[in-house]
Amino acid sequence: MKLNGKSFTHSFGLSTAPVPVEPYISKDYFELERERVFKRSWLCVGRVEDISQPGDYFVRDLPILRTSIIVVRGQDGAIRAFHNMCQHRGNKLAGTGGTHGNVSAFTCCFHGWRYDLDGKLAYIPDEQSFFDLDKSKLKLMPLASDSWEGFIFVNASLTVGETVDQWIGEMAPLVKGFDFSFPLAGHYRTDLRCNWKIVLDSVQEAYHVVALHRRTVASAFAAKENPFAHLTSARMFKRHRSVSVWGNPKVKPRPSESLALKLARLSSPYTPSINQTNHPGLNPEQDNNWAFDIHVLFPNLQIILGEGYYLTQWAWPVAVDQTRYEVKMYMKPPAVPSESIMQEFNKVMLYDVLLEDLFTLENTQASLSSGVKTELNFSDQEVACRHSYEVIDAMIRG
Amino acid sequence: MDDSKQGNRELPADFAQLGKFVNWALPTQGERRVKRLTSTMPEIEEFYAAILPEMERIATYLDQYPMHEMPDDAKLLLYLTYAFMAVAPAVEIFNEPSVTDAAFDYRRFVEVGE
Ligand code: FES
Ligand SMILES: [Fe+2]
Repeated sequence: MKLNGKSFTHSFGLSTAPVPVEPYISKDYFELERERVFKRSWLCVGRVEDISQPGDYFVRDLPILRTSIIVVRGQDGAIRAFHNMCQHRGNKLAGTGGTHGNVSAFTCCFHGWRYDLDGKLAYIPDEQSFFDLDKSKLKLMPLASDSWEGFIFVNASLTVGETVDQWIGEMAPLVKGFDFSFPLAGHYRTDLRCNWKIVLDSVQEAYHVVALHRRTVASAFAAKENPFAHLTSARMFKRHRSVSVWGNPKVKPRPSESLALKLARLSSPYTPSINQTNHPGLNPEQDNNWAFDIHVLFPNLQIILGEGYYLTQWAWPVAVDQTRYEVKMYMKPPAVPSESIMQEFNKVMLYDVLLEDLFTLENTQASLSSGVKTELNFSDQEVACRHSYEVIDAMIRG
Repeated sequence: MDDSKQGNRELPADFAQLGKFVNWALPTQGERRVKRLTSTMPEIEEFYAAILPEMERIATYLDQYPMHEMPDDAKLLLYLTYAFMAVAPAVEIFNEPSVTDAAFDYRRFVEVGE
């Protein structure tokens, strides 16, 4: 129930029935997700700051699209995305996932074909030994790409129906205009033996906070007046969704946190928010006891926006029971050294709390994979998980 | 990240009494975490108890320098405060170096690019 007693789930017209376990364990379902969800969606793969100069590029392996991509800023400043595949015999052109750098051209290490940053084939060693080559037809194979509020999106479908702007749709006012210029302060990754939706579900509800985080941060998000960490508000859109998390204004800080708060008027996911922003998207319902907003960009990116920081968390499907989880924390640059001590507090807490979150995911997958249980029940507080399921399932059936 | 591991490992004179803890002054979050997780609780508690009452004095001292123009000895002192934050959950929450019951292996949850 909402704090005022009305159900989110009913008010968004979602079902209240149990949901099947099949989407978490079925290989067939996973293949349908590949074809009908991921190959037809704008997928966020990074930030424009990651490739700020002409020639800057990064490689991202996208097993869910069965490809690896190069995202590169051209000499003209434009950002483009290509399949990381040489047009001669298909070798990977620029290394594998995680590779990044600055180049003036891409040269294949196999036979030396060279491509300009806009994908044009510029040079073939011993070209005259080929037969009837039309170099202009041997450009690197592009994916549609665009950026929005500094987030870089790619789309693998050959007929992209919507622009990124249209894709973001109703989510725009919640995110647009946020100061995304904060530098990267922490970047963590792990490969999990579980379905990608188990990861995503775990970061789009606050129901787990009281039990799973009982030692660490439960007291920041639950109290007598809100004993089960109920959300302050929720928004379910065509595909994306957003929920706001209640913060306990009377949380008693531990000594390290008191120090951190004294040293810097910056906030963290685990401290009551200062909420002095003018950004209209933050705390959309202007709740007094607001901690932060969780936005989920369909299908697999979660963004937490707060005062002076933001977090991005990706669940990248690899196989039905394998997911690459990646989290990036960005924080306002410290004006003075003591502010960086506060940031260190944030980073340490985030990391330890995430270890708690990660603990349940593989165990959940292991049990569900047994097939013994066929249905799950989502509470009203897990409305985002249910919405996620319904949107995906409709795409798969549609 | 920088060369503070080599060269001078002396804290600023004002904080010479913390010199015995200088091996906690590690430049990356990952190194500080490993130090926490490979130390005993008595070691962690001793370090925590020594730094806690000095934190505000340290912060005032550090703030005389711009963030990116700190001399090496001040940088070591800054890393000591980061290490304090790294061990704080062990002392204040878990009563052991690791995250209690969270059996997810920290060695699998890695920093990218450190
Ligand atoms: S495969 Fe790239 S040059 Fe031959
Ligand atoms: Fe959590």
